[in-house]
Parts: sequence; C-alpha cells; structure tokens
Amino acid sequence: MIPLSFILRSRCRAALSGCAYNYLRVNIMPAARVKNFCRSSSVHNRTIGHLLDHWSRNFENDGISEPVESIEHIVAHVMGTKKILDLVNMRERELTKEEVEKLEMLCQCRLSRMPVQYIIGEWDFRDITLNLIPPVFIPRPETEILVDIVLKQLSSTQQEKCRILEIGCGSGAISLALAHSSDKVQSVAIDVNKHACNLTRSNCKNLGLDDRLTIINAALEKDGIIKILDDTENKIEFNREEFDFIVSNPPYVPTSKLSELAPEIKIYEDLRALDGGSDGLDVIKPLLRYAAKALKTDGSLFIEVDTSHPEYIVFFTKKYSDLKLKHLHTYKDFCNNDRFVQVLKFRDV
Amino acid sequence: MLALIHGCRMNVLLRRLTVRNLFVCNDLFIFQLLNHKIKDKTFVNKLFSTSLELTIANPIVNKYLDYIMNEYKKGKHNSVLENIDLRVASHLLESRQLIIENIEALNEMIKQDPEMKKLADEEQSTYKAQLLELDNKLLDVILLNLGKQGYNDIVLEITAGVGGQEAMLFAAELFDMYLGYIYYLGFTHSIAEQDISSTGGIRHASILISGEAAFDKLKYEGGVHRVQRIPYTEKSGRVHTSTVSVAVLPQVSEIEVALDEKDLKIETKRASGAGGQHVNTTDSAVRILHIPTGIAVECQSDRSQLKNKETALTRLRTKIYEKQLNEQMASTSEMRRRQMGLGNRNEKIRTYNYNQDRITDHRISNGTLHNLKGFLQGGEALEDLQMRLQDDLQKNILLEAIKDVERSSK
Ligand SMILES: C[S@@+](CC[C@H](N)C(=O)[O-])C[C@H]1O[C@@H](n2cnc3c(N)ncnc32)[C@H](O)[C@@H]1O
Repeated sequence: MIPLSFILRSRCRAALSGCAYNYLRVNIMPAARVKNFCRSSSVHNRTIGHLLDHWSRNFENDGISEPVESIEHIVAHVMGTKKILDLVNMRERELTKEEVEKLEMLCQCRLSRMPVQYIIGEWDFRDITLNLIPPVFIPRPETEILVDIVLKQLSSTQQEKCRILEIGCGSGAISLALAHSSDKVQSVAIDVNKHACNLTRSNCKNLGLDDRLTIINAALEKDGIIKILDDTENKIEFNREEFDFIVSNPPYVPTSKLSELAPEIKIYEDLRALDGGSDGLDVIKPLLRYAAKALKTDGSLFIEVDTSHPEYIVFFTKKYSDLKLKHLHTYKDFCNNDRFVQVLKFRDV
Repeated sequence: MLALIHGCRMNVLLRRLTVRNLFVCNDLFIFQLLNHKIKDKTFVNKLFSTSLELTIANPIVNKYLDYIMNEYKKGKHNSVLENIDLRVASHLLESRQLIIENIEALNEMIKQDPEMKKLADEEQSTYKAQLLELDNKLLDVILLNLGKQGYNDIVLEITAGVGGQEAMLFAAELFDMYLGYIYYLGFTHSIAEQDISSTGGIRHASILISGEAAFDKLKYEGGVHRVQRIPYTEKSGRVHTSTVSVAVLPQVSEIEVALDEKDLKIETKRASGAGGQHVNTTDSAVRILHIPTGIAVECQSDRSQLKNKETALTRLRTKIYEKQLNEQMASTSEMRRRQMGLGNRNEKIRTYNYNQDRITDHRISNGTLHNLKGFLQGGEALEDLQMRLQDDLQKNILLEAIKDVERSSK
C-alpha cells in the first residue's frame, strides 16, 4: 500500500503542477476503460454538459465515490467558480483546449482517488476559504459545529479579549474561523507537523488575520507537556502560560480502524492527523492533562472526539479529581453522534 | 370628459392605463359600485383595470384629496395618511389649502361686488390651473409608495406543477427568465437549491435575490404560470397544458421568526456511520425539518455545511412566515393580500401560449403580449408588465381608500 500511495501521490502532484504523467495511469486502469478513456479525449465536444456527463460516467464505472459531485467541483474549479449550481446554467458553454487538458489532468487525479479538496486545492470551512495541500488534514464539516460551540461560549463571556490555544491546527480551520468570526479572539495554534504550520500560516495571511494568530511548530507530548520543535520561532512558555479556552480536533480514530478508511483518506491524508492509538485516546489524555495546567480557572477545553470517548472523559475527570476538571457537556453533530466535549477547569475549594 | 382628461397632465403612473371603456366610466356608475357591497372581486378588478381613470379629473378623486387635506389640517394621526410620504406631501397639502382659501375668498368677493367679476374670473382660472397641477403632484406622491413594501432581500421559489417532465422543462425556462430579469435589474442572487430532473428540467428551485426594493419588483410573479404548447417529447403534435408555481417572499430575519432549536431536525447526507475524521466527502447538503409545522427545506448551494444550514434556515423562516401570514390574513381582503405579495397561491396568473406566440396575464385586462421568446429573456417586456400590474394594484388600493372615505363621510 505504501509504494502505491507514493506513486499515486507523486503522479498527482505532477499533474497538479501541470505535467502529464499519463504512462502511470495505464498501469492501474483496466484495459477496457483505457480504450474508452482514449476515445473520449473529446476533441469534438468540449461543452461543459458533455464533459460533466462523460466524466461522471467514467468515475462511476471506476467505483470512484461521489462521481457526479467530483466532476462538478473539478469543472467549477476550472471555470473559476465555487458553486457547482452555477454549472447548471453553463452546460452549453465550451471549454478551450487548454481548459480541457487541465480538466483531464485533474480528473486523472480523481481516478487515483485523490480527494476533490486536494485536487482543486481549496475548500470552504464556515465562511472562510482555505487552501489545502496534501497531506495536511482536510477539515470535516462536523468541526464547523465545534467552532459554533466555542463562539457561543465566547459571546456569553464578559471579557474583552479571549486567549485561545489550539492544539493540532492542521490547515488552520478552527483557529482562523474563530478569529474571523470574533474580534475577541487572540490565539496561538500549534501542530506537530511543520507542513501543517506552514499551511496555517499561509491561510492566515490570505485571510488577513496575521496579527490575531501565532503559529508554532510544537508537539503535545504523552506526559501533557508541550515541546517547541522549531526554536527559531516565537517563544511562548507553554508550560507556564494560561489560556481562557483550549480547543482541539485531535487524532481520534483507533489505529485498528485506519485500514477501513476510504482510499482518499488512507492514501492522501497524513495518517498521524487521524491515528489516535489503540483506543483513539493517545492525544486526548495528554490534552486533558495539559488543559488542567494551562486553563485559567473557569476556562474550558473544547474537543472533537469519537462517539465512544465522552464516556471515558467523564470517567477520567472523576478519577483524577486532583486535576480539577469537570465534564460539562457533550454535544452532538448533525448525525446525532456524540461528537464534542466541553471540560471545565474549576476553582479550588 | 375626454377632452378634460387629455387636457390635464396625466399622472405618469396612470398614463399607461388604457382609456378603452372611458364612456362607461361615469360618476354615477362608480358611486353605485362604491356603495355596493362588492362580492365578486375578480369582476371588480377586471372592471377597474379597464375602465377607471383615477386622475384628478375625476370628482371622487378630488373629494378624496379634500379629505386628506382636511385630515392633515386636523393634525391628528390618521390611517389614511399612513402610506403617504408626508415629508414631500406636507408642503403640497399646505399650498393646496392656501389656494382653496384664495378661491373661496374670490367667490366671496364676487358675491359682494359683481363689478369685480371679470377681474376675479381671470385670477380664479390661474388658481384653478395651480390647483390642478398641485393635485397631480399630490396624486403622484400618494401613488408612489402605495402598495410597496420595500424589502430588498427576497426568496423566489419555482416548483413544477402538473405536466410531469414538460412542466419541469418549463420551470427551467422560467428559472432562466428570472435569472435574466435579475441581471437586467442589476440585482445579485445566489441559488439556494435546484432540483434537476433527468431531462434537464427543474423540479424545484430556490433563488435568494438582493436588490433595491426587490420584493416590489418581483412579487407580481407569485402564482401559477401556465404553459400551452406541444412538448418537445410529444410526437403526435398535441398541445399540452402544464403549470409551474412561483412564490416570492421577503427574507425573514431571526427577529421576525425565532426558531427553537428543539423544534428542528437537521439532517445531512454525510455517512450516518462513524462520521467525523472517519469520512471525507464533498457533500455538504443540509435538510431541516421544522417539526411543529412539518415544513422541510434543503440547501446544497455552498461547500460549507454551516453556510448551507444558514441558507436553509433563512428559507425555513420565510416559509413559516408565509404560513403565519396566510393564517393571519385569511380574513383580509384579496387586495391587501396582493399588496403583501401573497395573492392566492393557486391563482392562475399568466398563460404562455407557444402556438400563438403570446403571453396573457390574467390579472389585468388587455394583459396579452406577444413575442414569447423575447419575454422569456426577462428584460424590458417583463418589467413593463410588472409596472402595469403595479399601476393596477395601486389604483385598486387608492380606490379602496376612496371607498373608505366615502363610507366614513356618510
Ligand atoms: C484531525 S487533524 C485536525 C486539523 C484541524 N484542526 C482541523 O480540524 O481540520 C489533527 C492535527 O493534529 C496534529 N497533531 C497530531 N498529534 C499532535 C500532537 N501530539 N501535538 C501537536 N499536534 C498534533 C496533526 O498533525 C494534525 O494536523
């Protein structure tokens, strides 16, 4: 699996940067479809309607998930729009030869199961648009609700400013959406992955939020201590700092479940962004320990978790009562799964 | 009478109206109608849209203006003044008062000194000319805001009705027409939902539109649109009749319709399994069911699920508002409902006949137009029709107001 993923990734990277590496696709394409594919390099019909129909059929025949949506997003991207509904009124429009070439290259990436978000290089999260580069984790829609929960809490606090730490920022989705939606927010975001930090940094710049967010390449270690990995950066004494809120969407998929994930995730996303160890709690436990030290009294930790985790968190906070943490609430996602947990740091009595 | 009407500077808004049945329109007839408890509204609408000239040449209009002037003079809050922009109207009303006083003073003078008659007559006619001009202006001001709501953000929903695929194809054509119209008016829009059929028709579509007084520009489109033609798919060449219904409503804010989270069932198409980090899909469609009313809406226009949820909530609030309004207004007059853009949802408002290349709007007489293709582009022709419908509505509202004055002065 690893060599295949490597080949696919490098091939798609090549396609994305504009060079055609067509020979590779022949290796993984059934002969019948190759024929079909070659015939279809439709010099004759370059209308959007035709291309949509043609490629959705191709994707479907190949067992690609969301065949229709995939091609719609790719065409929309080539046409420079974010809304696939706009295409309905463009079906008669003809693409230029160059556009068709670009489109076909991107479609090959999809045939190799590259996630659409990486192919078009961006996606929306709440009301912001983020650039996305493999293998940095693609934000999931559930996480938009996590931001909602934090924002609600924010609006009910009296404070002028709110200092927030995000652990594992990935593309920057959570921190940037928070800063974008509330002027109160002043945050620090860390990620163990340098590429994630760089991506968050560039997204931050694009959104003009530079002065609201500090991004640091650092790791939360098993013992609940944060270690800065890149010492050229901003110095923050993580193990002495205090925050009003800590927020995180940590890796929470149990290792045994990783093999069941779709190829889009398994091959293209950094698995360290998802792998939560044997019970999915590898990062969640240190998070609770760190929060116990770094949260101000009455401050809250907000985390996205697997449905099985809230119960454990309740147990953990009771067992380690010296941490002075209290499970405050479990929130559901739109699929009615227990998905978010709020833990409160309470006052000494 | 004809000469008189031609002689005066006709109100800009009313000028478009036809003078077809002018001779039927004598005062007696109008008063009969006014005093009659009118039951058949369509009859009345039809009648008035063809025959009545609500210009100041009409004594009942004069009477109405007198009434408004007197109410204004009394300085009391009065509902007849509610719809009038007093910032503009007040100095007109004051000048009018002055002229009338002058005319009365002259009359008095003639009575006392018949010698002065010749001189006075001249002055008298100057005043009368001034009064005429003033009254025209006043009527303009009154009509300007009449029947307008001024909402800038609206939702337009198109739903294919009877006629299967053919209705859906026509729904798609109407959809294009409205996009053209939105472009023509310089408005902005976003498509909230579009349910496409296998043949490229539209089962249902929802467009959010923003622009100066967008509601007033589009509310007359609400109702059932009927198409008569030979469907593309019909081999025998038989003409079919299909329908598409259109609803136009102002977007409703959270303040106007508050929704309780507990009453909402929010669903997404995302895998109902493990979810979260386990899944990566592009599907961000959101469906919301409002449990107490059973109203459901869907939105898939954005890549962000949250944005889709917000759009869906806007549509949901709008639908609930419509329902509430409909219930509240069940006993309100047809015209008031029309003014609110509610009309009758099931009223057939317009027919598009392909064989005859004509469009007929059933709400106004001589509402027949030609050049279907041009009309469906959603440009000037549609705007013209919309203005005529507005004129008609305004005239009816004014008439209702006059009727009220008549009644109360009895
Ligand atoms: C599931 S992703 C979430 C990314 C982003 N917050 C989002 O919601 O889209 C988890 C992120 O945490 C980072 N991460 C994993 N373990 C970490 C650790 N021990 N310390 C810091 N960051 C970690 C990963 O590199 C990854 O970017």
